Amino acid sequence: MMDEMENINVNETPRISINSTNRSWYDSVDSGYVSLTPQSGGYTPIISGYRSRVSCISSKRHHRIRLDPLQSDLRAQRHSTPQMITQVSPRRKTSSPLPPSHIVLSPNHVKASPPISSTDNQKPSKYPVTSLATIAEIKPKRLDFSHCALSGALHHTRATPDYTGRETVDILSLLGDRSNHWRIVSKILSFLGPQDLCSVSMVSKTWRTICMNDSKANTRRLIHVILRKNVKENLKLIKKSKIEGDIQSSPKSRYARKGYLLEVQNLLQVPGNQLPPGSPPVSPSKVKFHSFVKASRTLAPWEHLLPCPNCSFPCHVDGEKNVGTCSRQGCSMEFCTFCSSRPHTGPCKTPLLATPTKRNKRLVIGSRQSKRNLRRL
Amino acid sequence: MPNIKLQSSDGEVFEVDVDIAKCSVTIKTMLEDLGMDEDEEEVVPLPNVNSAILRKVIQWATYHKDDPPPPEDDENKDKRTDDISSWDADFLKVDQGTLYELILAANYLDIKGLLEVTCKTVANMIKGKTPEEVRKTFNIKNDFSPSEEEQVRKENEWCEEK
Repeated sequence: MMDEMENINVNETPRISINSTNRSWYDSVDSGYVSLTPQSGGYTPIISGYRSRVSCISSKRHHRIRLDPLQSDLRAQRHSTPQMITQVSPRRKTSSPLPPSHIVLSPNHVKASPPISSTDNQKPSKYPVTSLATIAEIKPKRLDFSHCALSGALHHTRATPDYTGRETVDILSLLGDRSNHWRIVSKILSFLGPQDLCSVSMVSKTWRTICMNDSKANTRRLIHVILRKNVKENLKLIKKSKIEGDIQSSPKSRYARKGYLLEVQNLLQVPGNQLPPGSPPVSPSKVKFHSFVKASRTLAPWEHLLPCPNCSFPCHVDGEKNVGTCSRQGCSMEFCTFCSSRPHTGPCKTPLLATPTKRNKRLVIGSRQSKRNLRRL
Repeated sequence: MPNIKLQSSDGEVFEVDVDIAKCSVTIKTMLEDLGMDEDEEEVVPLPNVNSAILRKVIQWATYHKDDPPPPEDDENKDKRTDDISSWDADFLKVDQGTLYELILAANYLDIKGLLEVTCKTVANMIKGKTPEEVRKTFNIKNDFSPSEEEQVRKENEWCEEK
């Protein structure tokens, strides 16, 4: 810091010194001409006329030679009188701890100038000094900030603790719950198959919520569950029918068997003898039941079936919109599931014809009503 | 090749080739936005990455610096997790804490390839395991109450392998 300051000082000196030389030259000239004015009496010998200037210069020259070896750096003193240096510098030295180059410079201008030009003179000397001081103050501060302060701040900016070196980490909870890196979580989940997603959702509460929150993974998982459910239910159906032995008795098992044999038939079919695979011969009383079974095969996960209010054939009902569409080609009626009128937005306006409970009620599997329905089959 | 200085959270400074550092989109964008002076001795602070992890990340980036940019994410493409190169597999034979920190660092530095491969590694740790095995792998406590567990089991009973 000191070095820096001195460097700058040395750099600054020529400018000031030029200024000061001009000033003091001018002053001395001035004082030479206006020799009788009291202002100049401070330091110039009271000699009138042109001669005084000459003598002044000669005396300065004389002193300069003597001064130079002592203070090589301070060229600013070239034109100032030796008395000034000796007078001022001791006084300044005691009052301020500034480096010597400073001390000699600033008072030089202040003191050496006559009162008339004192304000002018102070300017060049004061400003460099103050600006130097500010530079010297700011510089180390800025360095300070960039190194110590920043590295100090670095240690506190990490929000999460460091897990390096831990053998086991609940990685998904940390990424999802603790640090909100949901993008990474869904990335990881996207690499998992639906079967794995089911496992993930069964690990713990946190993992379950994580799995549920990721909409894409959750949809994949639920579709998988539904698919598996359908597959396994059919399997169970066939097993049951085999145990029962009486395959022909129930239309359900017949249907199941038919599904099996269809593929075998396709394999055995001779190219020339292609018959359109028509619907199996069923009694007219079971036509509607079979149409329901048929419609259920094309059911989307969010749909359910209702009998059409017009022809009582199965209708696909969108669970969200509550709009049913009849699956029978001749009918293909669209209706609101609550009031059975044309689909509309907003609340139902037509008075309800059927009792509303009948429409809303959906059979719960395993309930008494559904069991009775089954028995009736 | 010009170098760039990266400072980890614990103060260690790494000098890295700029081309390698540009694997990280974060650093690449920063250099593009701020410009890079040849003679500037600026240190880039990475407050989210400690020195051990930063060393690993630089190691990975050095090995993969000539890789073509990874293909864009395709939602419909089925994701594979078995296409991890043997070098990466060896590289990622680390404890789970380090793997977690690597994921965070890759995410923070926006290194797509590294994020991809670390996520795949985590997915492979989960794949094909029963919930109990997953719990054991990650040392997770089963915090379901008996009734909740029953409900969860019922929900997923169709998926249980026979």
